[in-house]
Amino acid sequence: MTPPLGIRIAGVGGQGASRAAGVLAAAALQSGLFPTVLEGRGLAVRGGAVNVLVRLAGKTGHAPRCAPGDVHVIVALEPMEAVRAAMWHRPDTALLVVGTPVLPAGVFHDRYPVPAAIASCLQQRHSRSLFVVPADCRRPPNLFAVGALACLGATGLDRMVIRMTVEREMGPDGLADFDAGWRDVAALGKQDAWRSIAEQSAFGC
Amino acid sequence: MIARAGIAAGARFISGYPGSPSSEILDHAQRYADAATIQVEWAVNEMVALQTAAAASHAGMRAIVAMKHNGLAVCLDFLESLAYTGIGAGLLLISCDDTQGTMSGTKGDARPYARLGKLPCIEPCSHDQIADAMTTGFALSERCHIPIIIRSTTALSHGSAPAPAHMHYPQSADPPAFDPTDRVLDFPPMVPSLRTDLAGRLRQAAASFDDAALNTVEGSPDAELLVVGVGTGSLYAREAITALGDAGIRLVALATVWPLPRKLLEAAIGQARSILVVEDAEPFVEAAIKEIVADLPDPIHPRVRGRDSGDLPGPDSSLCGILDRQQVIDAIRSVLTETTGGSVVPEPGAPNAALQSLVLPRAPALCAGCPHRSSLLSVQAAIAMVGEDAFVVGDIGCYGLGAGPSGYNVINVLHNMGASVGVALGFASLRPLGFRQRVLALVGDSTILHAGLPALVQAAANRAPLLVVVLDNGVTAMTGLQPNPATDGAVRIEAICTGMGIETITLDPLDVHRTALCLAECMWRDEPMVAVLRSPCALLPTAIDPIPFAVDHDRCIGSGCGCDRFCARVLGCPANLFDEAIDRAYIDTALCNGCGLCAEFCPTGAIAEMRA
Amino acid sequence: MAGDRGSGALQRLRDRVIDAGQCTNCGACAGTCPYLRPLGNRIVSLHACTLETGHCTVACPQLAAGPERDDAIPVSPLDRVLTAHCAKAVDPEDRTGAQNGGVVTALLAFGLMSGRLDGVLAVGGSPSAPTYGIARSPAEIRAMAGSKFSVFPTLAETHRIPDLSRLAIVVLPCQAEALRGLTTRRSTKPLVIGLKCNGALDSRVLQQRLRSHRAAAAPIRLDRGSSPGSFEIRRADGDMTPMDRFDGTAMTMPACAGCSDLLAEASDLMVGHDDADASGNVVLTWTRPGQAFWDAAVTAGRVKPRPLTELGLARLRREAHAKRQRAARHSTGPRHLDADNGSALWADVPG
Repeated sequence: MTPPLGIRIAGVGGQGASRAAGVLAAAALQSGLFPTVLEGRGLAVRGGAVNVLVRLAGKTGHAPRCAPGDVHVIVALEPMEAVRAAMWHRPDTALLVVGTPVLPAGVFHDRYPVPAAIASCLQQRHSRSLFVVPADCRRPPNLFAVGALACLGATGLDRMVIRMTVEREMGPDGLADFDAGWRDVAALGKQDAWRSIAEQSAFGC
Repeated sequence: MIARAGIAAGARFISGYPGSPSSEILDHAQRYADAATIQVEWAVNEMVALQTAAAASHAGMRAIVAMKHNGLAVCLDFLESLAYTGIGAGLLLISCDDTQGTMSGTKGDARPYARLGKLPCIEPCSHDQIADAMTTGFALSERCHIPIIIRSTTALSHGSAPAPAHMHYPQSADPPAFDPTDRVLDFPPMVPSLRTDLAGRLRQAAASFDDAALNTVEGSPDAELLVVGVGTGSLYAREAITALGDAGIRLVALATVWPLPRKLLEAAIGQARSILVVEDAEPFVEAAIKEIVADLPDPIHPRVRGRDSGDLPGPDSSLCGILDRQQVIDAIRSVLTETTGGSVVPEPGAPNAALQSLVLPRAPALCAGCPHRSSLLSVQAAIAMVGEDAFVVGDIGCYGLGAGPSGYNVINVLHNMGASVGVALGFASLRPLGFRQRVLALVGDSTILHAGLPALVQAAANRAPLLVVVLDNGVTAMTGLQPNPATDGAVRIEAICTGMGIETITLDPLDVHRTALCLAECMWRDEPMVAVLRSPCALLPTAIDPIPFAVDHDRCIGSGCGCDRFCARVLGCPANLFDEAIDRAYIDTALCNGCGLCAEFCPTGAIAEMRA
Repeated sequence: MAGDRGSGALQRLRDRVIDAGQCTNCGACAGTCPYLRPLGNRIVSLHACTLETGHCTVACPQLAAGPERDDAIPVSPLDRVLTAHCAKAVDPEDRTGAQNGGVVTALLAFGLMSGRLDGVLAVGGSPSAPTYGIARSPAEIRAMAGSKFSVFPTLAETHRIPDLSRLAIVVLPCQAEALRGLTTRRSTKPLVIGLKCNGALDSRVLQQRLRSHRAAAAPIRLDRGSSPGSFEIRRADGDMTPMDRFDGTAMTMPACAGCSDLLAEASDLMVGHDDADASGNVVLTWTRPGQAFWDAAVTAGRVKPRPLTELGLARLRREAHAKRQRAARHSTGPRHLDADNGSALWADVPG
């Protein structure tokens, strides 16, 4: 029996990883599923590396935490966080990287690798990987990432249910971010490869 | 969920002190509690939280106290006394343990405290079980007249799962009242008999745990292997057993972790040859089950495996505290295929080398516009000015990031909450023995009220040559902007310190030049001094629409400036960045909170508020 | 970051000067960047800088010192002097607060009154709480009167002043030397009034001592004592009974041990106490602008001079030579101050 669908959202504290996870979980609830969310709060919120794990299951009884092998998709809101997360996961984990570099404290830009180098290193390892930079970098990238994920169909959730959840809980600005993510990814045409993630998982039923 | 379940179970007094991962409990309780019938309040520290909750209990109100595991250590003395005297209405102490130690000064486990204090402890196995745990807990607490510890691990505290949309919250009951003739006395001459009585009450609790519905047993009675999944450990165990196809394995999902339900466990052991205990994070139940096993009649001698035996990562491993299904699968396999000794569990499956060579550490950082950045810069400058190996003793809070690069690595000694004043006092007190170095204690508004005051009183009484710098940002920020007694000015820190006879000054941390000099001058004085650096937290909702600053690229001369890119390279504000392509500094105006610190330092005056 | 020294120029400055006890606190290095901060009694490095070359090492007079510099020192500096006088301030208001003849105050007040100067950068305040800043009126300069017997990093202020040509600065010999280097890179030059100096006191140690007398209601004053190197603390209200005496030896800055310049040879005009007359000053002029300024002040009747006698010149010559010899002994080997060397600085000049 397959385990629940695991989505790890990795980002920098303050980028809204928790909210993105909350939206996915709410959409899952709406769809009659049993989601769990596991997040780190407290110290990490202050600009540290943040990790939120969403597990979508067809029935209750699973643990909120899972092994790296049970994470099907990593959604990273920042390139270095994509590296930090992917480093512990298998190459068959799909990787969606959204956003531009956020320099860690004490690191000057000449020590931070060029995003293109990060992308190429990740792409060499993860056959299913996608790198998208939102046009408006001033907006937090979390809902853009949810929109991208929805467009890819990787969660197995009905895209419109996700969109309605965003609209209900995040307001017009959030919805605009979501739609921007959706549009940018739709233009890339990679949906087929990603849709199978949800099909394989079948939410652990 | 914990908050809602507690209220649904009849809690009428809820107290605590902010501490991740427990802070959300009171935040949520405030939302669900009807103020007319339920009192929810933040206490100044966990000891006072428990004391006030105990009073509520003595006055007939069911009470809940919520804290992180460190808080349990803080109130342990009083908790033990409560166990001896007994209580009135049910009292639940919720300990949210940070089993990985990623947001605390220690890795946490409340259960040894339960054993030490002779208190029953319940560790719910899942979110679904929380409501039952609360109800059972209150009932048991009242039957045995004893506080109950409810232990939550990260999976519960920082996890979410579907909860009932509607819960029934009981309507109000009688107003609280305490009968003075029903005296509550933890009086030394009575202690031996109190202790005997306590042992009896604990045995009562143990008996009721044997039948508790919170514990479940699944799987075949003939199983060779008994897996005891403790609390949320049972979830991982169940997933692992299901993945392995259930062959010859029995599972006890154990929620009552102290005292252990001996009869239930003996029955579950049956003829099993091995017992694998899956728990986070100390091998507490593992050790206690060994005691039960030792008393089993021959020839039943199952071997007890778990963290101590090395089948799961041991307490010293960095993996300890992060259970998952795969670890349990590996442990079960190693138990079933070997008959002697446990296998050594390797450290984390090696991270991918190519990616690891790219990754940079990301230390937590102060927010853009945080007044602590200015304060810590001032402190660093003051220490440099004083010289002679002067140093800083720090404390817990957002300014605790002074232990890392974001806070200029300014803190030299850091322990737990409230330790800064006492430890700094200790150094300063060594002066008569020849200790020549100047010491500065760094503490926040919440923390000094939490635990710093007694040491401050001693400093005042001894006239110790110590500078205490109170960073007052108006709120308990790191845990989520909870209020503290100093928040609305109900209690003024300056008044407290002056009342102790300590000379106290108030400074604006954003005036770094002046503040640094004042702090240095205070350190040169040979008497206790307090400097309050007051400026509101940048995240407070009242800080609306700050005007961001921007860099004028005609004035900025980039890497040609003798400032050596001071704003981006030294200040470290997340909003101060440097664009190498155009060789100019710039400010991320989406992040900038308009504090103006960088503008003060720019030698060419290139940084200024943006005009509309 | 505490302990983080960075690399490059600032590190060299710290290793060779500031942390090596060679800093005279002149302030030349500071005031142009966020890394170095002048602080009363010393220069503090606050953060780590990575620049390989920078203003700080170029400006520091202690780093400019080297064998070639020693060769440039004439055997007797007095051979180079333009004029040499004893003098006193004429106006009593110019003498209030001064330890000796009040000539520095008189000259600077004259400069401001006559419009030759717009401002004077000097050290004022009380001996126990000195401050420095720019005086713009005779009243302000008179309020600053009195030697503080220490070096303050006033040169840091010069970097912020675009036009130095109408500014006078009162400095000690090390600062005059630093200023000479600084102004070669500037288009304008200030009028440099040097003070005779046989070793400066560590101002923080001095202030601690002076503040310990704050129990006295009246303000206090600091004067040279009767024996060389000694100092006396008195009430400033005219009561001549000393409250405290101390030996300046242990308080002298370590960097002074290697200094060979008694007479502020790099200044335009030097003023010092007159060993033969405690109520007067010795005044030397080194440059044409210095001499012109002096002559104008004399002509205006602000100071009453008489030529320095042969005896007086000889005393100065020997004193200057003695300081050079002490410095030469320190130029090889570790530069540090111990009690012996300290007392030598204050030794009575024979003859």
